[in-house]
Amino acid sequence: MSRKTGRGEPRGAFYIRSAMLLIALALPVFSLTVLGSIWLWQNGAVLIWAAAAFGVTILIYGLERWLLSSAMSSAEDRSPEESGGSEIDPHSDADPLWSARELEAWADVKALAESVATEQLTSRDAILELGTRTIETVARRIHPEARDPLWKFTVPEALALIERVSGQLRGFFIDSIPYGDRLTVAQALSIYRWRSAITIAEHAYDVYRIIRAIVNPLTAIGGEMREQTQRQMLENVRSAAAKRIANVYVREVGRAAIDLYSGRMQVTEKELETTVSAATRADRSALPTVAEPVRILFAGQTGAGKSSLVNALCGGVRSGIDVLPTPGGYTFHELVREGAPSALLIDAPGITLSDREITELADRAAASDLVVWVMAATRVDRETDRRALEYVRDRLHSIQNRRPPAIMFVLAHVDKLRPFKEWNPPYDLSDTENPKVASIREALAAVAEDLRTTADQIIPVSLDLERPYNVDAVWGRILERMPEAERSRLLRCLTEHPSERPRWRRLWTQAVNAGRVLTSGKYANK
Amino acid sequence: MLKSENGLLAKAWKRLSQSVKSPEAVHERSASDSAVDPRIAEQAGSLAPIVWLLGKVQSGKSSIVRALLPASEDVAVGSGFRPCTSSARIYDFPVEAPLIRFLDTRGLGETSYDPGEDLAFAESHSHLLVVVLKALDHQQDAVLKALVHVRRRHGNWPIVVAQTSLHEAYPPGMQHPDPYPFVTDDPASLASAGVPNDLIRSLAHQRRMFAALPGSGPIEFVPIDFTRPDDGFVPVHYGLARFHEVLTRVAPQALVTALTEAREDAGDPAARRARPIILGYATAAAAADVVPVAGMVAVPGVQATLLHKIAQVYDVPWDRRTYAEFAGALGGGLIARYAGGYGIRQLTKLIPVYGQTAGAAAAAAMSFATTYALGRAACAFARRRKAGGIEPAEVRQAYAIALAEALRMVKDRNFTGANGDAGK
Repeated sequence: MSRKTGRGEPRGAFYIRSAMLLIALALPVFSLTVLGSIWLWQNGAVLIWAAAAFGVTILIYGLERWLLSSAMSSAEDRSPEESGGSEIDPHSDADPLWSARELEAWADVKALAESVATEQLTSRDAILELGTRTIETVARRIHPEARDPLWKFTVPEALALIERVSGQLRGFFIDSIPYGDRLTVAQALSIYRWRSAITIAEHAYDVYRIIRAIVNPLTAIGGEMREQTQRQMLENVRSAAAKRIANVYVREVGRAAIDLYSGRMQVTEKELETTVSAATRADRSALPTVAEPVRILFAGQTGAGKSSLVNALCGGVRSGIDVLPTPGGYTFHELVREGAPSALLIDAPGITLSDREITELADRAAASDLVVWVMAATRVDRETDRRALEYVRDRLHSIQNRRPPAIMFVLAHVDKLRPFKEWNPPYDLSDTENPKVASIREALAAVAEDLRTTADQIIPVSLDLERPYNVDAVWGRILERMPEAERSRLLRCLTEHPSERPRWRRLWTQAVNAGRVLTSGKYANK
Repeated sequence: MLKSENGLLAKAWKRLSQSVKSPEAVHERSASDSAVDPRIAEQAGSLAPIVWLLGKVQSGKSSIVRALLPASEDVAVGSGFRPCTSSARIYDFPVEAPLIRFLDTRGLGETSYDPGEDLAFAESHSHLLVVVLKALDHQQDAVLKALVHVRRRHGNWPIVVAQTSLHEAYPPGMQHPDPYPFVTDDPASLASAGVPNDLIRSLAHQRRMFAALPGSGPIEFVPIDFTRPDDGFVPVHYGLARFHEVLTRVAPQALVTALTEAREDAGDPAARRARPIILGYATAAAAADVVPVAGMVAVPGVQATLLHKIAQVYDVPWDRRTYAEFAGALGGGLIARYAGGYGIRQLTKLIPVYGQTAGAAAAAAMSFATTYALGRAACAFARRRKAGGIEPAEVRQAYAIALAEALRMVKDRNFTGANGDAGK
């Protein structure tokens, strides 16, 4: 008794009506295919049509192959630059600290990565097996004398290895796989399950192909050739992606395995300590004159957040942060690493418009490798910033003998924007619904207009002591804007492990991909 | 003695009946119905006290104006400001006949600010300096420089320092400390009330910045946070009670009175809107007797415009017939009796010595009181009229009550003091 009283109608009738409606809509369109075929046949143009369709498909296939292979090779070209920098020897993307034996192991890993048969990587076990094979290759090469080379490491080393590989792969997925950062595993699985539906559709299509061949053999031959080519094309794209993933996987596992078996993982903890304790305040005169340090100048008004930003960048250094203006002039934070040139983060005093102080600021800026201009989102008295910036820009433009340092902008305290009570980072700045995002975008636009720059040049951050936000994006941008030589030196200050440098280099791309900074197309592609 | 009082009353009464009955006034006014008569605005402005707001852009000046004048909520205060001197803008409340004026120094801290011109403007009025600082903003050189300039000239002028946007120092999720702890500046008790340490030190640092100012006038610090209802902080006007308390203590009496008058609640929404307007026009009427301004609008003219304005507020058509009805409802004899009895006794207390100045003051007081009472009576009339009836007794009663109220106010307003020492 599913029948409803009054205006209700039986369910069957509803389906029939829907089907009729569907037929009425679809019939005119599909009839065109049939009628067109008849017309081609009557006019004797079937062969011409089939040849033309086949020609176009072949052409596209050729183009696709060509583009795909050049994209692959450019990806290959890029990887050495990404992980090493210009100072590294021809052993592409190898670590300069590796010994000869480790370099041999690396060569093995690369050979393995090239030879992976992607068709076999269809199950979890196959992937794990590939990882094990990579590790084994490295272990045998590095400990050839050992009876059981695979177990030549400690548990903490192994844990550190897992952490590192996970981190690297995460970056790869976020950067390089379309929707890699959005697609959940559940979604991926459901796509996998739909494969069976596709198989059914394929069977149905096969039946159609047979009928077609009986009805019109000539068209069928043309169609058949075209389809085979298209299929091959799709197969190429799919295997190229699979090959790349497998390649990166083997390389990252191999790279980590080399570090693991050579015992370098042991210094992880010590390394953390030295980064922290090495950041000291030192006057310029007290600096060693051996190597000119990388210099980054932080300018901004009193209370804008310069000191907090510098401290947040130094990581964990808690001394000297104050809501009160720092007494006196320029404060230096030095990043020291044994055997590596140091970097100087120079915290300028609050900007004033007095001639003497503004001249000194401009001189300091001209002597730096990068200028970071810090503003507070909660304050709108940017006229002082504008004038000082104008002066500094003029001074930098007058530099003739080298490339003038770039100026980048940081907007601090975005957590204090309306709505005041809300602060749930991270925020995707492309989100148009969120009122906090709207406030941040508004503030960025206002600052950009006042300072004659564009909103995508400004990084919004929060410098809350407990939970700083987006400070890694500042590091990323600093590295991105640095001249090449200084960038390598700075990278060497930031991390002792060359293998970790790609991670630092990726900070900016990650911030861009997560929408934590505004981007114009120019920066998204870079 | 009684004769001169009677003469004064007679004059006031003549003006009143003129303004109510004179049909010319009706026609003259109806031409420029909604427009503000700049002469009346200037007249009222010459007596209206000034709040001089000194602070950087977006330090919270507009929200202070909004909080002090609840009746102005439907006015966009930010856009209500108009240029006044070359470096300042002014917000008149209400704009057609200001009862109180806010002088806002533009661009302070951005260009090299010379307070001379604004100082000259504010000097001639009863006024108060309110300095507005964001609690975490320590870059206040321009503000302090201006203050040094002002205090060198007028060492006894009081200063109220409003320290705003306290929430910027709060950790995420924190509410305003309740009860309001900033009645003291003792760090220990503030800390025990839950005020973040950074905020305590920041507020104290700002206090120290003012320690070196010349002059002996009191400097009062009031931490406040006036937010919007959807910002989620309770109360929205945090520290407003304390702010009023401090103003009452240090501000000139005329200013305190004007603020209190503007704040007084007056029943229905239309009455609430009409109240500051009536007070402003009453001020303009008083000015007609004491301040020599070129192109002065005499008391009947002011009162006629006021009646028009009230008709607008209540959305009642105002024509000759309505005038006649209103005049009839007021009834001549009754008012004379009220004025003769209660009014004169009040006036005798108010003016102990007669002289030239006292005569002017008494005339100003009378103009203020009758205009105010006329406005309130018109409100009562218009409310009835809108409902379709006329209740003469109610109109008369409203007039009588308002007259007594106005005479009480007059005492504090001290209209003759307008040009004199602004300190008190």
